[in-house]
Amino acid sequence: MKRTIPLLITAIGGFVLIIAFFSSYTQSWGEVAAIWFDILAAIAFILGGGNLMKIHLKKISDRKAGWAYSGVTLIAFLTTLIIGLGKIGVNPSEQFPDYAWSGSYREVGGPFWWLYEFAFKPLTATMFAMLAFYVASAAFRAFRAKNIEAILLLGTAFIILLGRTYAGVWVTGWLPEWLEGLKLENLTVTIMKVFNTAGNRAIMIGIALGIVSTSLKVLLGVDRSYLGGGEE
Amino acid sequence: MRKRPIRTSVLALMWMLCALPVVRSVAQDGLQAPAPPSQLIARDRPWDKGEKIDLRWKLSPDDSGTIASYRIYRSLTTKPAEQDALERRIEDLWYLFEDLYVPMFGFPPGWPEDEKARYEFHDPTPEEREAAGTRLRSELESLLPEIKILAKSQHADDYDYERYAEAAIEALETYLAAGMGLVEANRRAAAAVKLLNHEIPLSELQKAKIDYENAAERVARDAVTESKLAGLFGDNWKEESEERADEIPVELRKSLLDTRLEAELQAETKARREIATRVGETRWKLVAEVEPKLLNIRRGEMSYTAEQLDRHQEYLFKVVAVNRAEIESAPAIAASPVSPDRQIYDGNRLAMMLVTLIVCGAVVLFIGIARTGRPLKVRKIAGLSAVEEAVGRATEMGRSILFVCGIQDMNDIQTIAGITVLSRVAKTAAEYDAKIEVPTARSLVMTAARETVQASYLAAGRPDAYNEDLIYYVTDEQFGFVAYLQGMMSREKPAACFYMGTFFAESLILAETGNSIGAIQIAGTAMPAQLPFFVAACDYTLIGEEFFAASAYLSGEPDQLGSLKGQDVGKAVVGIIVVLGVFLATALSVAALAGNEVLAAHLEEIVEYLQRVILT
Repeated sequence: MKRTIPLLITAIGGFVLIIAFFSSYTQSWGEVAAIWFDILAAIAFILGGGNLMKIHLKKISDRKAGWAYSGVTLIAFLTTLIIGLGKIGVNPSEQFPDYAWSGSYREVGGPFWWLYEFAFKPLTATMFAMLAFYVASAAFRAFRAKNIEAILLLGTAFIILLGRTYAGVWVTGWLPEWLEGLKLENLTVTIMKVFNTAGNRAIMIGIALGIVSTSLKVLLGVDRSYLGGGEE
Repeated sequence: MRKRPIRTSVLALMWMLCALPVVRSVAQDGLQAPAPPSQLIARDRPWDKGEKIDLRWKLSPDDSGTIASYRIYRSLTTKPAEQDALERRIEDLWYLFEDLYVPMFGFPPGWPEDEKARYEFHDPTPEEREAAGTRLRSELESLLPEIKILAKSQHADDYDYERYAEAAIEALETYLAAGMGLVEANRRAAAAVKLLNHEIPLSELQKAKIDYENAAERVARDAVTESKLAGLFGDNWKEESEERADEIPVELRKSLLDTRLEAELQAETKARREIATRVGETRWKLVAEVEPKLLNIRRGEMSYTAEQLDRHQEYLFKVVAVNRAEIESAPAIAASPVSPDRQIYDGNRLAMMLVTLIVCGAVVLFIGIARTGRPLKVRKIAGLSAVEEAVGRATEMGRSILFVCGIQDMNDIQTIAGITVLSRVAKTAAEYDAKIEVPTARSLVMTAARETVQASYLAAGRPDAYNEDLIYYVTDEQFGFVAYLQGMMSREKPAACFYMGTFFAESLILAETGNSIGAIQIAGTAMPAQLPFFVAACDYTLIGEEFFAASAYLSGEPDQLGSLKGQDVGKAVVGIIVVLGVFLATALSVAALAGNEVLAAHLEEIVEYLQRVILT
């Protein structure tokens, strides 16, 4: 029973939405289902918050390695939650000036806005910026000319990287008009438009078929592992 | 010497005679209206959502090179009752604006003489100004939501309500700039723009802002002009400047043309004219302009499908021929108005339905075949064969296994695929007595992952080893999640890392961190942009379909392996369509190069059908 009812909900919901997609009268049902999901996910967020508290409090109480990070996490979580939910420091809206909580929690200049602008954004930007260094180290490893394939990859990468800089344009700028196609910037365009697009589309077609197959397995109940296996 | 003028005259006469047909033809082509098209038939498009009408007409008899295109017009939709009411309210607002404005600031230049008698001018007190401003503002604010709602309605395209919104904002700004001083006007006008911030599209908002900035600039310029006028005529410059207009220097007169009073009069006149033209008037809207192709000219007829129509409205269509001088012919008008009808089945999705039936049918068929016990061969996938090796390594080293199901929620098929792989990996981990840790970026994923891992431990006969605290929620925030994982990986150094699901920019950060701690890494995703990063930094990568095949491959169950075979039929269908498309596109190019216009036109039609109908 624990598995049968979720399976039935999945199968009925899935097949109804597939059929609805092809009928003019029911094409908007998918949007309704998406709204239902959003409601469920919003409720589940409480579960997530509770779990976060539990895990990190346990780490602190057990003095596990790195428990101080858990402390920072909890302080940041609770501070943001209290300031955001309580709309601390937010002015009432112009429409409802008599109601203390009528303003937007994201009001410019408010504490929540301040946290977002001056704590959250710089931190996420820092994480994102690290990507540049990781790209460099991964490229260094990937482009080592160990075999024929790696040499081809290295050559292609060399053309693409150079073709997208002014240096690339300058290096092959002397080529005559009838060899226009061999200029690095044009070679880059050809590689991206022809070879890259062809490879990408092949992958995309495979992905699309994989999605169809996986969805069908889930809807038909052939694959039940996402529900915790096939046992009743 | 005497013959030359005669010879010149003869030559000139001959030239004129030769040129005459050319001149006539130019006159016919360029200056006269072309012959009209005929027999316009408008019919509801069968099997659609009720938003299309098919048009077919006979070409103009002049269509042998002189017709550049055909313009298709449709009648505007019937005016809804709510629009009538709104128009009346907007008109009332204009009157209110006048009633409040004129007594305070006098008549703007060019104000109709017969209307001047309606007003009694007096110098307002600051309180009167404030009261008038508040009233006008509240009226505008009560009207704006209605305008905005209607602007987004299905009739917006025809009646352009957003212009009313702009006109209303302009009125507010003008009034405020005139009556309350620039600083106060700035504040209030910014509030008006802010009021629209969430409900009007960005482009409109930008327009409104530009309008506002122009208005502010204009007011600043006007202040200079006014001070110059005051210098010329003294305190009564308003009246004096009207009476003694000739005395105003030319340069000042030019800038006076741009003054606020002049500009607002123009804006008001424009808005009044628009309201007047819209009331009870039938208008035509240009739907499209289409050029006749070779096949159309040979067949003598053309067709077009009008889209994005409202099935609750009736539409009348007309088609005119346009020559190269942009002169329109008389119209061919459809015999009667047509209303698009909605059918149960959406025919636009027929091709997609066929493909869905073939692919799904094949998957179901092969699952059935697999159930009969027929052996199915599936190629070896290195990444999946390495799962056992990775789990074994973690066990030997006494370290944990990290499994990340991507950063999307359970409504993403990649997350589901990731969870199915997790169930197999968790089972292997349970058998090896290895510790598996699953941090998640979504609460629902955490719940699903817990159920899955618990069931895997149970299936492996080790329910006691299951620890739900190892499957936990971190944060929904992308880089917050990455920061946690990076820290955790650096501290705990898991021996094996699995990344199975949807990943974005974090893919390389995770994979590189895993690489730096020497973990064996297996990744699987269907995000093409992230695949190169995983390939570069991980030991094994499941590319696209391999990722979706992982669950079937690892389970080895005939049912699941059958579904993989079904996918191959889909690939065969796609392959046939690709080959057909390539053949047709090549044949089209060859036909065009060889100058076979008829064949090229036929092929172009087929290619267009493939692109527009089958592939969209």
